Amino acid sequence: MPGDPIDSLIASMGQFGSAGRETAESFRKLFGVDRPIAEQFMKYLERLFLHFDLGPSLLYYPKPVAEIIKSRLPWTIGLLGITTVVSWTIGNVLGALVGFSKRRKLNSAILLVSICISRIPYYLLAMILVFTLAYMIPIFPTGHAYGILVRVDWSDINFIANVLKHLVLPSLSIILVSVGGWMVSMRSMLVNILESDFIVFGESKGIKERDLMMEYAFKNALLPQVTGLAMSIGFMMGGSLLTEYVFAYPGIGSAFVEGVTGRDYNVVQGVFLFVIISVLGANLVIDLLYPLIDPRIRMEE
Amino acid sequence: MGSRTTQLLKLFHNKYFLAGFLVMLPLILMALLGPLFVPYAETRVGNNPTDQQPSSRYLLGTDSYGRDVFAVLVHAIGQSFLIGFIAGGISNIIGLVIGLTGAYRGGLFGQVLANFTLVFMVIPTMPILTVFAAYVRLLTIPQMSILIALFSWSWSARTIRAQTLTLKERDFVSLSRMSGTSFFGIVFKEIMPQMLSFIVTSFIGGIGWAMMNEIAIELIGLGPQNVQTLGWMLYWIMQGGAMIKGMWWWIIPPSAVLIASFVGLQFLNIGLDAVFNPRLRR
Repeated sequence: MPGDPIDSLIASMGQFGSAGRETAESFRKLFGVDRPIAEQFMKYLERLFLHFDLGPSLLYYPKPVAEIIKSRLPWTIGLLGITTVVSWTIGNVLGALVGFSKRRKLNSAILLVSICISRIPYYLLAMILVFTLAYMIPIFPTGHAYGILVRVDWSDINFIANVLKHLVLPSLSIILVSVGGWMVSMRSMLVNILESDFIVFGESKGIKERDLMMEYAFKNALLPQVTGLAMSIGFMMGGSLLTEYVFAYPGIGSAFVEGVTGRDYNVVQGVFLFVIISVLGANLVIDLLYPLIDPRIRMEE
Repeated sequence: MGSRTTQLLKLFHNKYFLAGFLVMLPLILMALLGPLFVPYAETRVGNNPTDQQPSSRYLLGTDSYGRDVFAVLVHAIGQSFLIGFIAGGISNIIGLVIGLTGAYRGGLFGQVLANFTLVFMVIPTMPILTVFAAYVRLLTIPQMSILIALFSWSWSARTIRAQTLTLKERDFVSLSRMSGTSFFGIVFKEIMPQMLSFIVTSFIGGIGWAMMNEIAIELIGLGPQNVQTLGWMLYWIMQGGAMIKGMWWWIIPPSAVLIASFVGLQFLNIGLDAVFNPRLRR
């Protein structure tokens, strides 16, 4: 059943009464899907590059795809922003603690557990969290960004509390999985740095251990982690796609999945293009900002 | 040869490798032998009464579509491992060729390959795979594996590249270059065998990565149709609302198998690293 978008549109219209052949034909004409694929594609490119127009959604016609992205985007940015900042910070701090501490048994136990948790896929952890913390012990809601009966009003403290409560499980599933990776790389970076000559020299010179750790070792280990942040954005985007799907969270990830299942190709292409461009853009920004935090890069230029 | 056997034995003295092996062995046995004993008909929709709790008749109960959960699980494990195995293998071959040749040849050719690898590391895999799977719709298991492999080779290419860069300056490489060994001879007969342990580790990691992507695609209802895989089990759990109905016997088995296999593969890798690259100290 490789998809004819009009067929699925007609099928979904069927529930409001009969939609016949003529309706399908006129929709085909309207969306231009009766034309050859190459022509449709050229038309799409023309619209995209000359008018920055991603076309209309087929499922929510006549709503433009750009509008769907715009209305869904804040939820994704909120979810990804919070989880990235929290997991990066916790991971680096924990990794530093483990790297500096001398209790080897405890350290390797902590490392092992976090590596194992970080191997569990986002979506599976999300499903497990829904089952445990939303069904068995019903502390948190099973999904959506806010309750169905709640009035949307960003100046109302109750509404914000409701939104935050709905945010807990989706963020938790991403944070739990990503902390481990940051922790492990931070720790191995520190282990390498602590063996290097300038640390040994600093030690013999009598620099206070605390200063040596924070100013000399930790700061240096943090630099590659910033590059790692850029590298991980694409992965985070992919992860949030499924997390949003599992929690029915109204971000661009679930818009993408809805587009895929409903054969709304304009939405799929639009969101995809948007995600790719923003991931590459984020990488470019981090690349450009990198010399500001690492003077050695500036020297080389 | 004797030393190779002792090295393999040394692996089993490592507690991580042993733990990973003990976790993976029953799963692999279940995947290989299970289908011989459990009839496939039990996995058909409507074959059994729905929503049955585990009993002596239905070992792990039945789901909301009348399938025997245990039967589905037994048939699903193998297919998911198969995709992981093929995709992990192919992506490692791609990574090996690109990493090895790029790093050994160097120059513009090496630069291009290195940047190409970098681009593939940065672009988000999941959305791309989803778009491909959505446009193709009807995928077979080999096609799905190739598709996943095409977008997951970059990490192994990078590891192999880094290894090759350090190895290619060694004396034995210059020696065989001077004695007139061909480019491919040096790359695949001299350098490649030196990093066998890295290749194995990256292959095992690749299996896990491929399975993760495979299941993610099936979770949203794409990928190979009419087969039993762990991804489709999760898909039907989502569709059937098992989490909200509290059907623990439907949710726990695939989740437990998945967690066990991901953690098991990781343990195998930790063990391999500890034995073959003792300096790495993860």
